[in-house]
Amino acid sequence: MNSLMRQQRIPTGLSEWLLFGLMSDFDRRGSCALRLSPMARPREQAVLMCDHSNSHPRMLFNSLEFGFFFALVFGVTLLLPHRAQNRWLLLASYVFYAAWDWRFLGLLALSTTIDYWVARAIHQAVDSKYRRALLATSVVSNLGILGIFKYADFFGTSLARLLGTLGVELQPFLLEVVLPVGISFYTFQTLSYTIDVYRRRMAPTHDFLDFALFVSFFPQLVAGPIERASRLLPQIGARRKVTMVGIQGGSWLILWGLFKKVVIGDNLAPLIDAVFAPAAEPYAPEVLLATYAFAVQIYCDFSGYTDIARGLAQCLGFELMLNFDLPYLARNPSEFWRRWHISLSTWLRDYLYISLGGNRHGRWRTYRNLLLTMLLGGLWHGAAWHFVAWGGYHGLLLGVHRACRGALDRLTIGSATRQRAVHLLSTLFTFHLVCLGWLLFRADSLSHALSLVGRFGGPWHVGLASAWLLPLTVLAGPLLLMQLAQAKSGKLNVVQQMPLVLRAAVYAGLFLVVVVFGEDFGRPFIYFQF
Amino acid sequence: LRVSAPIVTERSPRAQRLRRGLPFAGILAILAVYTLDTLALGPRGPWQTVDGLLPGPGLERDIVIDQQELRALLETPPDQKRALVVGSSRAQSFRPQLIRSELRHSVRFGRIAHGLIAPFEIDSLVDTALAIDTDVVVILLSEFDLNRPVFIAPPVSFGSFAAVRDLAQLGGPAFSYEHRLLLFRLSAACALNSYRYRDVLQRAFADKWRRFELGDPFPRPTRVSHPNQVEGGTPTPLSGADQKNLFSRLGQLFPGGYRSTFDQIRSVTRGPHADFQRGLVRRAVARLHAAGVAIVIVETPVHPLSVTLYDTSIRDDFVGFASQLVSEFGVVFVALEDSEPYVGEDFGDLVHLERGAPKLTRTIETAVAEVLRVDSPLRR
Repeated sequence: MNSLMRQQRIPTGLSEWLLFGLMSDFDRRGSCALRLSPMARPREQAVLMCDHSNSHPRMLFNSLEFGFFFALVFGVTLLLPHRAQNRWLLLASYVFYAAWDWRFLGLLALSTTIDYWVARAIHQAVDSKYRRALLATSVVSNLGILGIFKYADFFGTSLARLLGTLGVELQPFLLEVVLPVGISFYTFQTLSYTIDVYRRRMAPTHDFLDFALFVSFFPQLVAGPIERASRLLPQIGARRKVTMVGIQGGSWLILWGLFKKVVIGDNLAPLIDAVFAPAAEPYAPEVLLATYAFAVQIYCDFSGYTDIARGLAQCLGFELMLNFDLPYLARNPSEFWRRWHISLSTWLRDYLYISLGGNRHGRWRTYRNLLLTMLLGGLWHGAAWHFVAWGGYHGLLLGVHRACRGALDRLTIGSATRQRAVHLLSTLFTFHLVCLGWLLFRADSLSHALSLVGRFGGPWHVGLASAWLLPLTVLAGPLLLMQLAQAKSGKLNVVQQMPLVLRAAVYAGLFLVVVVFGEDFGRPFIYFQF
Repeated sequence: LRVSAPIVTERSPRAQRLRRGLPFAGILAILAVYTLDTLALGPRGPWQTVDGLLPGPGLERDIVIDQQELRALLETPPDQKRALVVGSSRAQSFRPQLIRSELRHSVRFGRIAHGLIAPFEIDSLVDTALAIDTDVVVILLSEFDLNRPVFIAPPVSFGSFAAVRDLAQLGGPAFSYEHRLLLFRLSAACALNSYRYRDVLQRAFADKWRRFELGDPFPRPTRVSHPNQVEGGTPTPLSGADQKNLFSRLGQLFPGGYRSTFDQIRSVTRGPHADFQRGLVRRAVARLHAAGVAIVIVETPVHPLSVTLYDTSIRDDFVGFASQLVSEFGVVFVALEDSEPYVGEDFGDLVHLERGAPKLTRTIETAVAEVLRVDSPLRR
């Protein structure tokens, strides 16, 4: 097996050679040789071995290529008047998307065109049935695109498997299409526009190109935040001001986001990849630490992306919505979802949970709505049952929390010390509940997740876990310190409140750390796969 | 009495606007980064300390040694000439300590040699060589260096925008577009020492703090060249029996291993890659020549057995190319025929000299003494 594990994937292109050339410490990047099961199939081993060496450099925010792209976009934007700026940004957004895969530009344009015209027709229509039909057109077409490209094969395979268990052999018809990047994000974004127009919360825009920019605005196109038309469209329509303050704030967000992504998140990845590899046979403490590590990684990866997106937009004079608000300091699951991926959770609340009836029809219907919303939220993350289970798990947590809310609130009544203790314990408890969810989320399949959970019932050999504590602390430490400072001050922009020299030192230090110790420029963001 | 210009005080609206408008922290941070990057990671930086922190030998150590060599050259007294000897790992057979002490008094030799020094790196070195007022640059070269596929990696010892421009020009627009990421990275490596030396810094300062032990680690990669878009040709295949006999003989000759150098030798072929490599060397030589630096090209030998593993007429191409450089740029070319003869026992493997290192050193010594017109063993 060792000889197999030692196989190296030799790059074939010069760009790949570059990645290979950067890998002077090859074992740091690729070493996933954690106790492989003798039953491991060659394909699984190959996945273990190849891991990131085949990552193809595209327009990732953490790539130099994007750096040059943004410098050009930003520079030209400064020179143009407002209307021309919008056209230029639209062109840049389409170029940005084409750099991923130009073949899917048509889908983006199709979704844009349908929703633009449908929303206008809805606005003009008087007959409620006709308006509903128009809305259904938008919903069906958007979800249809999403369904074909993201879920068709999943449901086909699942149905075939189900029928197989009943003794009916069915060869599923698989489309085997590549998932267009960002499709889940932009379809939800355009859907929210049509629904808002249908609900008469906003009037439709009359500028098709402005609307196209709203759908395709490159900082948030491929992984959100899922902006609402009522927030972003007015910003597109109004004359924007690129200010030094905006650039400064935006630059800080970009730097901090990059730090979280390439220094913390990416450096944690080898540990997580090794432990969560289907063929690995980790001990319980190793699973525990890897789950903590994944909690940090996914937060740093996704919130890092969002910070960069918000920073880029801010430099261009836009204000995107906050997507993360110290989620791991939440004291209960409900609060967690008010702080985690806020743009998605509020979308699900406004367009799904409320549409299902919300909490207006009694306790059990509320629980059902919570569960359904979270199940679909889980499915949104990926076409796999473990994502559905993850959503269901959070739906259950939300339901249980809702049921016990009164009792939990009563626990905090008492002295300040008691309150602090209860808050601390509930924060820790919530964090561990969320971590259990991450285990489901990160696993390769539901059975894999269950086998990992089963490890906690196995022997508690320390294994390699003790050697992981130091690097885990070193990597997660800066994040924890920052979050505590943010929580204590009650301000997310705590660094910008610092004295000038200290702030400069933080900027310089972070920049150098990103350049020197960033794992690599070009590892894709986790949420791109959704 | 009133003055027309408003007085700027701390509290005046104009001062406040100025404070709000200018990103002083950002400007300070950029200054700090630039200062640190230039001072700490220039040739006068604390490379000795970095060397002490590196866990073992390897490319990173070789890069650090390059910087120490450059520093030594920089600190050479003005009455001493400066000679820079550059080449791949085969140039490590040049041993400055074996040079006669009389010559060492008048010429300070610096050796820049490791596995990633290829024609592009030689081109990249030109700016550095000029910055340290080098009197002569000795390039150790042979068909082995020019006829292997192109391999360019940013984290090497030097960065030069001119070399990146050369690369883009030589490759043309299609090449530049296809390899834009490489060019971006090379440019970033030129602009920022922290980026260029990130592998060295990671290994020296951070690995023990951030590295996860994951059991049986992968071996470090063997840095063999590999065909890429500027592809190499296909070597004449060896028959199974020939290969078996050859491997058995090589196994006896080099019990320490021979496969990696065997593969390197087999990648020596004719093709567009060789023209590309030659183009890079030509540009480097032209730039050095234009700056008035003397250039010596010393042909480096390979094991007599290696010569049987590729088309030997490739060497004629190399000699022809070197002769062109002699006529165009006044380069001094020392061919193998002009050196002391090398025999199989001189080599540690198929390409690297071991016992024969003093012979190579003497050849370089003689050539440099000739070029610089200092006390020459030939003259005596």
